[in-house]
Amino acid sequence: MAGYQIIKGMENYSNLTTTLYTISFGLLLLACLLLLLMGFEIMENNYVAVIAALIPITLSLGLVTDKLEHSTMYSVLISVGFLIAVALRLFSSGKIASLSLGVIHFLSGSVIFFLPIILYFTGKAEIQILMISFGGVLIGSGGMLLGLLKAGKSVLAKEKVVSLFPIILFFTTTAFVIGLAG
Amino acid sequence: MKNESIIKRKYKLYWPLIKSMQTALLLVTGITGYVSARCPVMTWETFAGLTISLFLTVSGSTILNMWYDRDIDAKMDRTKHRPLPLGTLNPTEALLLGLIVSIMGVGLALSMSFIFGVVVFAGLFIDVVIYTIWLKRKTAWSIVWGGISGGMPILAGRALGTGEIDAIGILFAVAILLWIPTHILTFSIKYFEDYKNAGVPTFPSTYGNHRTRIIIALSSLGAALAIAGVAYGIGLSWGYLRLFSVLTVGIVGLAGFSVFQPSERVNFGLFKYASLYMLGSMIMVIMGTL
Repeated sequence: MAGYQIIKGMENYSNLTTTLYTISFGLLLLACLLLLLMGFEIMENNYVAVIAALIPITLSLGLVTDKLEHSTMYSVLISVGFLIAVALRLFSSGKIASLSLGVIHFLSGSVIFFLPIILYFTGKAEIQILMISFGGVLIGSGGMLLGLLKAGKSVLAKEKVVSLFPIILFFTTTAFVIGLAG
Repeated sequence: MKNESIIKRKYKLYWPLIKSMQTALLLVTGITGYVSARCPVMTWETFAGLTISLFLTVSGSTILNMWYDRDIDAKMDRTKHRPLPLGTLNPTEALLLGLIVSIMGVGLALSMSFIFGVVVFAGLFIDVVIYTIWLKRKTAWSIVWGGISGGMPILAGRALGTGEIDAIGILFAVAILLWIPTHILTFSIKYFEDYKNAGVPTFPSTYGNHRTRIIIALSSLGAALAIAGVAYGIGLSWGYLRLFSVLTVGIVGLAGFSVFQPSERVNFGLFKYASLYMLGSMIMVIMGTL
């Protein structure tokens, strides 16, 4: 689905939006491939957490640059936030680094969830765009499941989370593709 | 009933001799080379001929390779269960089978087009004589010749489509040549002891794992650049080029990761990703051309 979106689904965007969506869907595609080939242990790597944060960041940036007239403030905010999170990951302790990444996820996730809803209810987009919000909820749920698992507070067994995650990723990507087609 | 059981038994013995996944991947590269030529007239007869001749020749060279290497296969855990080292298949029978299948493949290729046949024969000759018989047991650099022979199916397919050996065809072959180290060297790191026991020189045993990983990273980058050149040269749309860039980031990133944070998991992940990358690139060229 992500490959299809990258090849066929980006014909009417500006170069910047196309690049941002390509990074977002590209990272989704690579994440799925690497999970398939190398297993879930790969997610325990520090760098993977940082790179994975680029998925919601670039998707939200793509949405903002595509749908809003004024996107500079959010772009600067989220980019600087991401750079700080990377620096903290490299030079700081685990908790502060995790917290900074959490903030970035929260900000970009909020844009992915709320912006399509606002656009639809103000008549600026078709109903399909709500699928992006739905996709955001799905991947957010997946992220929370993994986060709780990593923190040792999971309500589900590891095997259950591991078997659910690919399904969540599939439906998330499908929802994003349908949403952007609107 | 008796005939059926003989056929089944032979099939079970012969099938492992052709390394079906490797053969299939090389077959896909050959088909990609042909399709990339955008022939104005593409007949099913030519397409079937291309597929059958390449399948027979690649299978034939693999059988001959297995026949010649049966002694070292017997020394390696990974390969000692193959029919020849196990003794379930007579070596003479395997040699005859390899020769017959190879001759059929090259013969069919020559009957279709002289230049196609010559390139197919060159692939067979380089793989069996230069790589397997002459260099494999002498130098780790033999994989360069293995890589050149691996590039022949795609060059042959392209030559069949265009009627000549052109720059795109050579770039295709270079891409395969540079991809081969990623595939083979990650494998030789994983099965280091096996190759050592068999006395086969490899890059890890000659130059060490760290240098080998650097070579893997550089060759992955080279392969990606060569395929990018092909993709641009044959005029693939930006959509395919974007997806291709994404997959390339994956292989170069993994190769870089294997240099700076080496582990068994990353190494074997790179091995599997490299196959997927090549298959994905070929499928993109086919889909983008059609």
